[in-house]
Amino acid sequence: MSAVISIENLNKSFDNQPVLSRLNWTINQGDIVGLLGKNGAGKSTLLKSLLNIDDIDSGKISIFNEAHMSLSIASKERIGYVPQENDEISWLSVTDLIKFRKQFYQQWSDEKVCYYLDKWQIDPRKKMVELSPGQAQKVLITLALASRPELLVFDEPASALDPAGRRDLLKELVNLACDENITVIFSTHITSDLERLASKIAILDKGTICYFDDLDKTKENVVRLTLHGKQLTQQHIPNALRVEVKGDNTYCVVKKIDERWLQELQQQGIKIDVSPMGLEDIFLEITAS
Amino acid sequence: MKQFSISVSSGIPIYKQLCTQIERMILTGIFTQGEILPSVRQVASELEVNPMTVSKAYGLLEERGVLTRLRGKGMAVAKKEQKKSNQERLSVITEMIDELLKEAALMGLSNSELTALFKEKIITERNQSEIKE
Amino acid sequence: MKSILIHGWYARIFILVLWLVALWLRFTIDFEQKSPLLISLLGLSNLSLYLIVSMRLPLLTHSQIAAVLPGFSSQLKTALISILLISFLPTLLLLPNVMSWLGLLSIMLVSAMLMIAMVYQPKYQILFFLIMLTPLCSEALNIEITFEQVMSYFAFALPVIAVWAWQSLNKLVVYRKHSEHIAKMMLMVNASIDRTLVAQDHIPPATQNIFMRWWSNLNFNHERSNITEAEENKTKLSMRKLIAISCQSTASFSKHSYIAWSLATLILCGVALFIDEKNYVAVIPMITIVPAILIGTASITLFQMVNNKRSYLARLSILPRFKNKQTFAKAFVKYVLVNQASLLVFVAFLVAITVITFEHLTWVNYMKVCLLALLFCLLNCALMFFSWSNHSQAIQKYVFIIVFNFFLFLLASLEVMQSGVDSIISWMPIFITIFTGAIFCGYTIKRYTQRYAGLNY
Repeated sequence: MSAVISIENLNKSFDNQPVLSRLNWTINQGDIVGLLGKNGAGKSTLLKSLLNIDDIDSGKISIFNEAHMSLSIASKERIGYVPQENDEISWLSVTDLIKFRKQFYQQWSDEKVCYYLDKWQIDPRKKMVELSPGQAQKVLITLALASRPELLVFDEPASALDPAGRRDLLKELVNLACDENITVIFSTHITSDLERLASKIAILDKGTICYFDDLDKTKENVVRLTLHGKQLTQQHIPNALRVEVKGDNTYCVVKKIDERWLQELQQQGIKIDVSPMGLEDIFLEITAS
Repeated sequence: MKQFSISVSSGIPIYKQLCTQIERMILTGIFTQGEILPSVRQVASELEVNPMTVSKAYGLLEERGVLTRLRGKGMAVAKKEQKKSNQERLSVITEMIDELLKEAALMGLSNSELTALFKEKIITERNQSEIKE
Repeated sequence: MKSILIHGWYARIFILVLWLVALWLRFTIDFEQKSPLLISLLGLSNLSLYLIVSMRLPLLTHSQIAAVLPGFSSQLKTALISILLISFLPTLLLLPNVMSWLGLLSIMLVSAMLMIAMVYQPKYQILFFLIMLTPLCSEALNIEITFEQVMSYFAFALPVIAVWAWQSLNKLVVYRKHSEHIAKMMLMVNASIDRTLVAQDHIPPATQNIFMRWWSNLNFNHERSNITEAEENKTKLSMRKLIAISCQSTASFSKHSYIAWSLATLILCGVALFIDEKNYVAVIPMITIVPAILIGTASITLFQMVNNKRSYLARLSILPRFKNKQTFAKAFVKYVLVNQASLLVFVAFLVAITVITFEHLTWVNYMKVCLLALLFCLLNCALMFFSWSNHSQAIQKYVFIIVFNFFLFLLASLEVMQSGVDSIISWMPIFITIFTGAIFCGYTIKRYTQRYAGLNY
């Protein structure tokens, strides 16, 4: 598997306030990555830096094995981007906006555009300013998908969408993932969107990607343990994220179970319950520590 | 298409949920031997999940010998000896009982209460099936 | 991309008309004699083109997607070059005179660069004022220079300027540095025509300049003191005042605008007493046009502001203070009429002062101009209430009609001023139109109050 995006030692600050610091990240072809982070963690900044929309302070970013500052036209044609806030020219009609965007791409699917506008019931004669935020976002998504990109970058794609629109978007991404080997990155704080679709999750916290792994592995590895009749502190539990002692029992969350440690305890006759956690809880646990 | 149902927000990975579900469906006869399962694409777009997840589940079941890959046709339920299947049935039911016991312990039910309930259920179930016959 | 940069038929037609006039001038009048006129005409048309294009440029260069679109910079470069070349075509009219043609080309290039620089970085606006001051300076320093000489200097500088322009263009198409100034610019240009004047309300105070902040604070302070005064005296604000306060905006014509304009007029008249009467000619067009512009912009602002505050007013109307929708509608009508009437009386008063000082109008003609202003206000009120009673979303249409009315009014008052007693605008038509205007206005107000009850605003 080849790396589509690789980021090395990325630093970025606003007014001397570091937002991203020494961030490293590699995304392979075919990955569908969900980027999770609290409000203000820098998800948008990371995605914008990645696409050279924002300047970076230092570091090396390459997309399709080219430096992100000097992407070739051919590489740019393979990228689709949906920004979080709609900054398109408000007095352009949807038709004009589509015409404007179409001229940049060799490959452009008019059928797709018609299909989505029809499906989402967007009147193409309307001006961008006359659309609701949700409709505007749908137009932007349509524009991003119309050029049949291989790398899709969504900044909070579902933030303004209604549940039906969100489902439509997810369905479309599923279809795209089936047909073509596309790579998708989408930032969100709605974990349920991720759980259906993402193959990998990344968590951005304190300026770095503090967690990046397969979604399935994450769910298998990060678990809640209940040690009955045993009191332990954080040091005594390998990979512990959080430990809480209540009465005789110890409740803890671990990043990954150390099998040998588990067996040792079980041999001592301690009863241990292992219960899985939902992604939302996992996210909260990882960013809380 | 036979319906799968998954719960996305549970802690159990979707591929695992799919695996256990398919295994159960085979054991309970919803999928018969040799029957071809829906394609990865069909399942993925039906459940709106990543197709990789579905193929991962199929691959795992293939490894375990539950499914066989038919070239150009997709995945089919593997043919099996009756005896082995019985063993598997037991192992699946054991897993389910384990889960049940865990839940019961969380609710604070005692072992005697649980066995009483279990026996009662078996009797009512038997009575109902006799009435039907 | 080109169509975005030169979007808008009004601007296109304006520039085209100027070019056609230049063409007509070129073939009808004596070329040698009128070449400065031709050059300034072409200059004016091209400068307005460059102004429009440069104002819109940040919308393209500073949109997020620009970094992601394949080949964005090269396409932008092509678009800009082709607009530049098209703007050079009319300058060919100068052609037998190669020197002034080349000179005009370099002046055009320099001014295009200057305009773009001013849009992207406000510090270059100083250059603009310096250029405005050059004629004064050359007079003060007694530098004798002819028009032809200036053109030939520019003609010789063309190669240098062209290289410079090419380099700046290459820099421009990849320029993405963000600044508050550009954000403000984009906000203004991105606003559609129906809210241009109130767009400033959406500029975050931190990015406004000191003067703007001071001015809007001054106006808002007045409204704030109104509220606290009512609070202290335990009196209730009248319903009209409540609406007035909620419709207050940065661009409103407020108490302090009245004070500022009265002061400006008094100062102007004071100065006029000390200068020679033959210099009055320079001031007279200004004192005719400015009051007209005051009435025009103030009524368009009122219309845009009310439209902008639709939802706020709707919320206001359901407050217990207003017994029912009918009460609110009546108070609202009162607010609009009082607003327009006080403006009209104020401007009439200002013009009266200038007439006493400059004596550029006879009192009969003064009455005529005032009546024309009254007619303009009546028509505006009628249009506004008509659009509101229709719950019209297509506000643009009405803004265009009001602007069109404004130009008619301006032309009519200029005509009255210029031709004096011989004016083609006689009393009879004025009275008849005012009468019909008043009936129309009354009808729309009635319609508005009737329709307003029970329907959402």
